[in-house]
Amino acid sequence: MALLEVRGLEVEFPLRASKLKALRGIDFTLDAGERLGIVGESGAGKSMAAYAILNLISEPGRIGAGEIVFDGQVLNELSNEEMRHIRGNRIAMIFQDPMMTLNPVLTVGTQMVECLQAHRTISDKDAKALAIQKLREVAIPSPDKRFDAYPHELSGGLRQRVVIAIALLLDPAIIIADEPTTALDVTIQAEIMGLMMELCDNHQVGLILITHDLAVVSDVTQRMLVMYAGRVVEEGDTQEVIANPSHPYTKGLLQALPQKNEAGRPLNQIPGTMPSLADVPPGCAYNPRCDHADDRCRQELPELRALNGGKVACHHAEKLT
Amino acid sequence: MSGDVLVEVKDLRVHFPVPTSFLSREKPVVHALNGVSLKIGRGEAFCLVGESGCGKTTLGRTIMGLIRPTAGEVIYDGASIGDLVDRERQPYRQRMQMIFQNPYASLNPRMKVQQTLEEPLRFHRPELNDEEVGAHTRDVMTSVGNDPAWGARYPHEFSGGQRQRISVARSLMVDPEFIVADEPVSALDVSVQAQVLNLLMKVRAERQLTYLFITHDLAVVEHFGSRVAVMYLGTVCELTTPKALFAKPHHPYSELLLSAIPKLGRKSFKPVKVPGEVPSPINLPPGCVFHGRCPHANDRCRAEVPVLKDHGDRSVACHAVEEGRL
Repeated sequence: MALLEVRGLEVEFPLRASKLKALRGIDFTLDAGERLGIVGESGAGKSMAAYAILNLISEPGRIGAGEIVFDGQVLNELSNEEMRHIRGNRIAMIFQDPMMTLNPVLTVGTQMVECLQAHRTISDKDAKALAIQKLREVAIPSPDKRFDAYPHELSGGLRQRVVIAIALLLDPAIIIADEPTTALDVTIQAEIMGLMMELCDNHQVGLILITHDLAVVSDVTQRMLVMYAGRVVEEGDTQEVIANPSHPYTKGLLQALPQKNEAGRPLNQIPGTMPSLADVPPGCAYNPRCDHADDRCRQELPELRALNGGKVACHHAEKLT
Repeated sequence: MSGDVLVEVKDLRVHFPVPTSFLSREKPVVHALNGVSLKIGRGEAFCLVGESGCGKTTLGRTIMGLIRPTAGEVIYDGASIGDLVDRERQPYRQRMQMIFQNPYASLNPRMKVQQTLEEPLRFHRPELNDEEVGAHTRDVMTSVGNDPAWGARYPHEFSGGQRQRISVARSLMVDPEFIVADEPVSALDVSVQAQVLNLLMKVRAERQLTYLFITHDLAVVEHFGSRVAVMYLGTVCELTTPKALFAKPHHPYSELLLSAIPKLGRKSFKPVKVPGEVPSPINLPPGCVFHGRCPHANDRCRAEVPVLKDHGDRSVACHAVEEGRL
């Protein structure tokens, strides 16, 4: 059985007369030690999925339907108190901006010890030793000095390493990383991604990597989901999806990349923009931008179904491959 | 590069003072640009790449006259414009325009799109009457593929991509010949990024524009640029065509930068291991600024600053390349 299983997950925000559905039913699984990528454009719902797993959706938003099953427990039925034992302990999260994640008035060490002692009974001395060991694991030079440093004294790359060290402190089963390197330069991104892959392998940690960067997903993950307007439109082996995308949206995204176009020629562009979640068109949400849309696409919502070893939510996927 | 030179910078230096206590004797400065020389030919799409803090934005802003150079020259169409006072600079402001990274911040939220677009035109060409201004605005909006009716709306009513297309329209209002585009697509999603890049390429062809394109996205450079300068800590380390750079980077830093780009569909990903981090631009290392992280550094690299030298199809600032050690 999969370590994490998300079934029919819906997240909704009540409006005055209606409901805005930020997630409109998504399903996926994650095995132990697996690296899963979730890609999509802003507003597709990829961060919402991560927040929903950890029960971090801010009021008045709520999980409207579906189940999140982790290690036999249904997470969305747990109380806040029970959830606190999961968050940071069994499932850790890494956010985009390390400056916002770390508390600027506490030293790195204080924050690490605090995190350890919140979940475990451990002496100050042992906690410090463990924290320094984790800082060493993420390749921070002179970790015993950095233990006493404040976040502002560290560079962006080092800060993100500290955040990873904190995420690893309690040996979680899953790390959810939401755009962990978007704020960093490419050379630092390469180091951080390399580090995360190595650590996930060594500790058998499952990784959910949320990003808009298809190239990063291609380099780092084994399986990927493509999201559009609150639904999963394609799922499959990462290299397979990138080499032979089935959904017209995935195809459009890949073909819009400069790498996929002859230099100097106009890029293949997807016309239009993603619909607002308050105003998702009926049928397939992608139909107004799709070249292959017909009446069925405008009326009937395509389900995610198996095709060629992956999954795709498109009425015409067979014809297109 | 071929044809005549539109923009040239010669040994450009920009240093910013660091605020200190009035008692302190030291007056530290941030060395944002340390002797940059390059020429941009008419009609080029010249790209500047590098990581944050390498001085690419400072260079763009200094050429635009938004930052005064500490030393060195900015030459535009044969005239030195680095030291001009505001009144003397005005005719150049009309010829050079800028597009900024964040379309959410660069459009005034309290002005209707029409007002935003008209402002530069009314300032630079006061002789036009309302009707002519209106007609010109409609022409420009149509030429960049925007509905002229957008003029009656406010920026917050538009998506990021639409806003960036409005920024492009604004920059074209005064019929410039040179545009500095500072990360114009970095804030946009992939599908929208393609739309804006296509628009920039289209208007360049239609209006014979010259671009200085500042970006950290090397895939965009490969697609878009006619020449590219790789910058590190306020210096240009390699200057060549995108094709030559991607075929084989010569400077060790260019090599590092290229190896770090994530790539689609490669079988295995072996991340580069680079010792150390970018040094502080306050206390620059002596010699080559990259020597602390360079596997090929020797005593000469630690003492003597390398300058850009021609090397076949490119210019490289590296002692190791010059000596044939690489």
